[in-house]
Amino acid sequence: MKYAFKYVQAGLWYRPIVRVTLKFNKIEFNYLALIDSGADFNIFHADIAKILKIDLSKLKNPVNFSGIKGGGIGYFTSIDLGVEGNFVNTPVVFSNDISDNGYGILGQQGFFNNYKIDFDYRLRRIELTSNKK
Amino acid sequence: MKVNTNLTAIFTKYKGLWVALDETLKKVISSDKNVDKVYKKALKKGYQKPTLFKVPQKNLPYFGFVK
Repeated sequence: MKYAFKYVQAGLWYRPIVRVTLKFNKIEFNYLALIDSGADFNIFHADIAKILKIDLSKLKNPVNFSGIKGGGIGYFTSIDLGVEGNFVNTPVVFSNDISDNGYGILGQQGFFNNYKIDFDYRLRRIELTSNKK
Repeated sequence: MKVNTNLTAIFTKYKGLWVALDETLKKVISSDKNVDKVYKKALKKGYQKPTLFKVPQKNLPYFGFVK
């Protein structure tokens, strides 16, 4: 299954931000997140875990992570992550330490391992091909 | 359905806020600092599956994501 997206324009910048669907506890909504090959995991804002009724204080597996300026703490769990209605259950990290200037991130484990991803910056186009047979 | 991919106006108007967008990403259904409020307001307005997005406080060149 293939899915095509356009880069999102934000002023001068074009970024590979795509709409994914998050599903857990029968709650489902869409979320815009940045595809980032430099990130090891999916990292989403902790605030949205509350909407999914995930109590981060009950998760026993905090993970330290690092970025350009410093580090942060997040909490691993797994949720259903969908692209245009097709879902895979996949690990995500929820964190309060995403910068105010940052984005939810689709990273290697949880996204790149589920899709072949072709970036064409010249055409401002991203193509995802599901690894699911 | 044509999806809006130019979010420049949203980046300018809703800096630092959560927004709920409609299916086309053209219309802002609700906005607030509290994403729970944003989500519930969107549901109340009849949007069962809004698109949530945290608009960056500053639209700077992007290199990483932690505080």
